[in-house]
Amino acid sequence: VILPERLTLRAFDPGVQFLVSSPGVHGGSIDRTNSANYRVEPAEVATIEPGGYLRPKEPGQAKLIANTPEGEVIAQVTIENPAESRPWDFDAEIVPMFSKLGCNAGGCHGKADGQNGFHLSLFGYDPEGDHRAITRDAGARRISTADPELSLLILKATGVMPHGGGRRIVPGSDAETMLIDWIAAGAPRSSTAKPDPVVSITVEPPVARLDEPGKQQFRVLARHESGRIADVTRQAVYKTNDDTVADVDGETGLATLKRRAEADLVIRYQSHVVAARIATPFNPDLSFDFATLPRRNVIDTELFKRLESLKVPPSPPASDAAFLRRVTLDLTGQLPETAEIREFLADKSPDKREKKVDELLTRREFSWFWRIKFGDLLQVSQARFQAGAGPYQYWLTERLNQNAPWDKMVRELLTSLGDPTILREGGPVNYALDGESPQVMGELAAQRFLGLRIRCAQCHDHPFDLWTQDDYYGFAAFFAKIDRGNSGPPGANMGRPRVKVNPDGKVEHLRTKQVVPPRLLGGEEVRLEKDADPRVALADWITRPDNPYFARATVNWLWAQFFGKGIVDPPDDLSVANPPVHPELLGALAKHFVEHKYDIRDLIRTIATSEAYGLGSKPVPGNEQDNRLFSHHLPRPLTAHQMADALAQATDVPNVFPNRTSRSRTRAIEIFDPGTASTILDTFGRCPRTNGCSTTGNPQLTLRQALLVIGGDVVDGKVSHLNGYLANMLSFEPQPSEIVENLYLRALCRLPTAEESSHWGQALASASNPREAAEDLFWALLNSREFAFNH
Amino acid sequence: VDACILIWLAGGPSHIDTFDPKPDASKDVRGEFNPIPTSVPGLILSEVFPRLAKSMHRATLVRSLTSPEAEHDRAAHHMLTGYRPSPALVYPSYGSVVNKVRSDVASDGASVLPPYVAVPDAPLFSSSGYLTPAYDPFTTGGDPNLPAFRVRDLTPPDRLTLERLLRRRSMVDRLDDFSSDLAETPLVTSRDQFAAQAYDLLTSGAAQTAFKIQDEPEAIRERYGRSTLGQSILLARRLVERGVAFVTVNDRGTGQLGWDTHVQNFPTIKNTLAPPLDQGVSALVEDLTARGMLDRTLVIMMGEFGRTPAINPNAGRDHHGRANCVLLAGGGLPMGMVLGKTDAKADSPVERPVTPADLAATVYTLLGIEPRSMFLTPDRQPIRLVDKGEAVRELLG
Repeated sequence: VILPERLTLRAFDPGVQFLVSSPGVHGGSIDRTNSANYRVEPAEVATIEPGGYLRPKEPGQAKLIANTPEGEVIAQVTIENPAESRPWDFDAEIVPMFSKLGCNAGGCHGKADGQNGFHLSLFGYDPEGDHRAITRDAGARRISTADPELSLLILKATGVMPHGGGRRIVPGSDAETMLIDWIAAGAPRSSTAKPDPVVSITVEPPVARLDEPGKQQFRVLARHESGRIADVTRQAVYKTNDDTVADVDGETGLATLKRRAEADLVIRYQSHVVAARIATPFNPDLSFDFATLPRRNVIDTELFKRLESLKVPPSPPASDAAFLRRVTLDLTGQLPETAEIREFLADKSPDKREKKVDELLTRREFSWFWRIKFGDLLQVSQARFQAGAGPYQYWLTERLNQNAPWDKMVRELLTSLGDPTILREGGPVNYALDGESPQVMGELAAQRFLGLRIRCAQCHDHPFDLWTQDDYYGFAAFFAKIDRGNSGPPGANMGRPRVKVNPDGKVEHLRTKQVVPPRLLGGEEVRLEKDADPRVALADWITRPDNPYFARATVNWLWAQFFGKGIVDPPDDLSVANPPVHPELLGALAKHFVEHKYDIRDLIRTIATSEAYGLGSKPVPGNEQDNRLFSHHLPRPLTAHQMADALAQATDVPNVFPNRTSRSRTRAIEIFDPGTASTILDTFGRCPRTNGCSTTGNPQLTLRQALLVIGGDVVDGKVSHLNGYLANMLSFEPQPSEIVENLYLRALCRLPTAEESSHWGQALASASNPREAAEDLFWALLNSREFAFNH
Repeated sequence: VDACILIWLAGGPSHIDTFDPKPDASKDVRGEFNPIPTSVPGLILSEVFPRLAKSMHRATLVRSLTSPEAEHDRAAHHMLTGYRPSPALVYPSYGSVVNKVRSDVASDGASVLPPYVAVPDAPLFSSSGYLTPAYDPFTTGGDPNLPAFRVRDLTPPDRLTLERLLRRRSMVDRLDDFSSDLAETPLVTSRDQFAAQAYDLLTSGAAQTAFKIQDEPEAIRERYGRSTLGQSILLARRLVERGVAFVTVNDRGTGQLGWDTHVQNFPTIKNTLAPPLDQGVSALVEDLTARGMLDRTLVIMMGEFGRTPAINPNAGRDHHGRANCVLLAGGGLPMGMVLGKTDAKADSPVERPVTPADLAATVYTLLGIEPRSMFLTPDRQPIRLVDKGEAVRELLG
């Protein structure tokens, strides 16, 4: 197969990339682009390079013939000679060249103050300024239209004159020719009356399914406003998301898949970004019966479809005990109690896992634990909201208890006005006080609710995403009319803060200094009455069922709470440059969430009852290398709150928190404000809720944690506590095997294996000091890997 | 150079009243202190540093450090990382970078001690920034001047004997062998490594000794001064001697930012802040020299900024980023040298201005780390270790 089969070019176009492929034997394809033999007939019309890149020479009709092991394939090429002279478009032709050559990168001329007096906008976000810098700044000495070859720009870039960045352009290359021609044409910004900007780019193939690791050529097409499609394969910039799996030649767009795996490529042209994927079956000879896998809901359908297509076997389900521990930790932050474990193991009903999930969802610990997660997401803390923190926390707790739909909660946060310190109504008002400026408010809303990091676009167009500076300030403008009420006349409202709408609030664009009207991400401007709160329009858009980000960001955030990483990972970065590992799964789960009216508990239930979530953590042959596809459950370190409570629960010795007696047996999950001092919670990395923290992904591991549980009093003191679990149990003078079984159940939430039971039973029986030996075993269990991880 | 000791003067010391006196300026600028001669002919210091004055022939003084930042957090970020603060990213501190570089090349025979320690606590922005928290400083906590000083969690409770801890460790190993169902992912391995490091610290006599400042001879302890700061500096030397690569000593004076003398600048410096510093740092330079460690140990002493030449109505001085002093010693630096100078009012450098980025390039070069090396942020954005800075050639010799 050859792509494109038919094509019309202008004589002055730089060239076109062809793709030649054959079907493979394993359901994938074989890329022949770089191995095919090419010829053009007649040869005067165009030249063809070995890699399938065709350059026009003169007007006419020609055939491109590619010879492959499967025979010849032919494409028809027409080269036109348009009546008008070559039109120039600085923005679409010259600026991307600076990006491709690295001239406008952050380490070179793209730095805020340029390099040696020559400043280009970072990654070319400001073509107007770039054009000025080249044609007019520095006394217009950078180009010479009389002697284009002797332009300073050419002499420096080709390394003829000393250049700090070395030789960026090879003399005689396409790039040099194009630059010289452009300068000779008078170095215009645009030589046509009507500019024809690029509106989008696409890549072919978007997904390359190869039979074997090897090479794959990509081609990139830019669609102009006029509808014209231009090949920009050689002008685009390429990067791979995982260079251990794939490389890509930045010049030609030729990718190499290095091993049996899958990788994403990110392709940029001007401010347009697109991703492509390259993959092979991981285990081509896998024999695994995917059809018999239980599919409990949409998650399983989509996940197993993907695993089957990549030939990666899922691990068998986790044991009942492992599942019970995992799901209890994930839903309530607690360990299952011994009696509960025994009961669950004895239960023979086929739907016992589902019933357990349903029951856990009704526990008060569920609300306590999840209000911490949502509190982290919203950064609810005294440090940030002072007197408003109480009402804010109260509101959050109430809404979670009511299982309020997430779209309703977000709308409340985005639109509430009034006094943030009033207990019942004030809670959501605090959201308006979260950022000190409309810009920061916009960033926070985009990141939290939409999973978009737009901050880069404050100073320049986002280098690896769609967002431009216009998007950034347009989004910030939704928050421009928040009046924080701190500057009112003293005493007028008794000094109480009051959030209201300021009809005169506005945001200025950093570069243009123009006041920016509110503009939705994606481009739509919003027209509003002067005294309207623009945030209402924003809330309308965010919570619209067809919003492209909101549901996806939410389900991805929630997924990460259960798997330690997102379907898009990192989970708060849903940029084009960071594609989801399972796009269909993310889409289907988001659709499910919208259809179920943004029901958080339903979504949690859907995830927790899926076969996918219940998979075992032990790899099987064929998925040992996988840490991306969710073919088995990856162990996650206990979070700060889980760790603190697990230690207390296992030993029956509560943690002590300020202003709470140990008799109150306060649990860590009840401590929601990080202002409450706690060495163990701080050491194990609870979110301080002061200046952002990752609310997804795995907790960070540190030496301090290891020292605390090994050298500190935290574990040792609890194990040897006179009123603790162990002391009480030993007072009943149990047999060594009973001691072992009980301690395993307390710490690891499972029964010991026969081998474990006999080994430790003998150790206890032969110990000279049985109490010390039991303490040692308990301590060791609480310091084991199995305890430290949710697996 | 094997190691670095950074003494951080939190709050921003008044350069005019310490290292850059201006005796010829008017009284409302020069303040209340008189200049004193030093062991370097022609070099004067403020009278508050009588002991340091005698050690200046072993030190290098930079009087022309300059930064546009004059707010504590922002300026501290600039000084401790070489980068002006950015809303998008916290940059890694000197110590974290050293920690990372040393850990990347660490061999099996490496010291069990953490490569980066803060005594008694870590100033803001002495963190790992965009690197992983594994490179954060290990903070000792406590007050090394107290008789019962010990590092939390580093000494097991008394009832837990060494023998018992070792027994427990072997039981944990056994348990982990039994539960081999747990896949050895990078996170699992990473936890094992931290645990192994913790056991090593807790059970190694050398590690226990390293933090045991009580083992220092009485005369040495007296020489550093029986103050929190003096003993912190002594502990820093003790750690560096035993293989720690980077120690930050946080001199907070009597508060969080003790050197922030907006009020009663003169008595505070003269009576409270300067004496323990004068004693501790002069002792450090002498002691490192006597032990033959000075060439292999770089000592840096600085705060986030200088203070205004003008004295405010509260007899204090306010934040002033344009002029700041850095005292350097050891590390093979030229001795007895003064680099740069400020104008008659100590307002701005008039000779050889040095930016925090220049300082960073210099310090990294001295420590054998290429300032142009690239590091990756978590979202894989490459960042140069030092940007817009050049190592100060006069200091590299």
